[in-house]
Amino acid sequence: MLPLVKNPNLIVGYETGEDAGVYKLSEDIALIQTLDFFTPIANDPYIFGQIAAANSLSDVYAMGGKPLLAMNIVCFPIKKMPKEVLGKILRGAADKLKEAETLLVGGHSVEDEEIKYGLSVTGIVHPAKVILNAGARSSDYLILTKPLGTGIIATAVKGGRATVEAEKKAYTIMSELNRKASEAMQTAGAHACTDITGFGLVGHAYEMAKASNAGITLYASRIPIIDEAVEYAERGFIPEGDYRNKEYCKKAIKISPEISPAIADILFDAQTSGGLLISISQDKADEFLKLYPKANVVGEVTDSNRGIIIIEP
Amino acid sequence: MLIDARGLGCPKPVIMAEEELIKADEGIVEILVDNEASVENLTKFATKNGFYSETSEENTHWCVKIVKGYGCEVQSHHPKEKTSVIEEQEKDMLLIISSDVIGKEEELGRILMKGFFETMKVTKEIPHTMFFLNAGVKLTTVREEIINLLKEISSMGAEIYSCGTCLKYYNLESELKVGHRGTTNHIVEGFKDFRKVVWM
Repeated sequence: MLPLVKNPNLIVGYETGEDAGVYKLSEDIALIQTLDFFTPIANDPYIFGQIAAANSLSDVYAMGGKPLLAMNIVCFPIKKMPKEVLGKILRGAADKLKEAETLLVGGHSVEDEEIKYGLSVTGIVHPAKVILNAGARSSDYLILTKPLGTGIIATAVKGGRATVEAEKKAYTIMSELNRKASEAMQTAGAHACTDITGFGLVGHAYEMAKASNAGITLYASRIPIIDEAVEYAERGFIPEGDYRNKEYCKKAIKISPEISPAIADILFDAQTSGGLLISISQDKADEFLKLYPKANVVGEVTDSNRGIIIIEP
Repeated sequence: MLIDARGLGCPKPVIMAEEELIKADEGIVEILVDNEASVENLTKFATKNGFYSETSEENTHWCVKIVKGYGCEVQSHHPKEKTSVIEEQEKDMLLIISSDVIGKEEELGRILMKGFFETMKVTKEIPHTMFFLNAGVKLTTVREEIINLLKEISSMGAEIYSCGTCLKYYNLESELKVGHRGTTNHIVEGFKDFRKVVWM
């Protein structure tokens, strides 16, 4: 365990398990600081760069912030791989940052056995308007802004068993910025938010339930899923992390036996650059969906079953 | 076929099993893996494809055995006759008759055999499939009184096969009067597909 840092200006620190730190600079401005990097999730280096950038920016968006600056983190086998590959990764990321109106201001690279890439992102937010995974209130609706299944599809791609179409769908979803969803959530007024990444939908919902001291009910039939992920899950293309996710929160999950095993697996699927899971009051949910119609209401927050995730059909 | 997939993560073990099993209509692979996720994924892979699987845990790893095929699909050597593909669900009884008499004493044995089939007909206790082999093939070729009984039993729903090798041995290949030619696969498959296999 790292020693806890105490400071009156620190709004979010290491201890709450958020993906970013938030530090109050003035009454109007707080700094959001985050970083993320990983091994290639796509075969195409340009697309990998885009996904890595969208993923790194997502932590700022999930807190209701605005990303301003970014820096590259590069691990690359420069002696074994043509440097054009790296060039394409960086260009993909640069294009995504441009779309996000975030400035790339530098970075650092080291030689490594395999490629790893990501970014450190700095953003700002009003100190009183930081949106955390704590704060979900009883009777809130839970909204999910991207379909699930990218981890399973990426595993099928790795095995050479995914269709080109499925691969494209996953890339499109992963490289999409959470910016518009974040702006809609700020306009409508959300109580809590987290982005769906390595713990999968259920894992992140569990974190939200614990942090908010509330219960969460999810409705499997309302959860958007990439079609092909169901077949790939049935065929055994489930990444190891998904099983760990299930194991990690199994004591706090009640899943209806009517839900098929493949769908249940997908609810635990680790996502890269996944969507936002937003807790918002029922009346404001309508407003949000008008601003961001792609999203789906997938569940609700309950006063009962605190710290428990109930999954209904 | 043994595949050592220890040290390999998802989806490698599934791909290796798939590549091995895709080659043949029937086959067994045993895959050694050292992570539980691969055990789960291999089991899912088998279930999805309708293969049988079982897992045993060793000290440091798991062994997942996947069986493809060895179902009960019977190839008829009489293409003009009715199809002899047996339904895939589990069947009640396979009766294997390996002699043309019951017991050692031949004359008594003939009487007993006839009585046996008569009882079967009257009680309507009809096995799903009857397989005749060794001297048993005489019953489906030259023993008139039995052939007539078997025709009636056959019309009541039993499938009747006679061992091709045995017909050849007794030079009775052109004499088959009831049922179809079959192979000893029927016996091997019978152990799995029938609830009960009875040898006579």
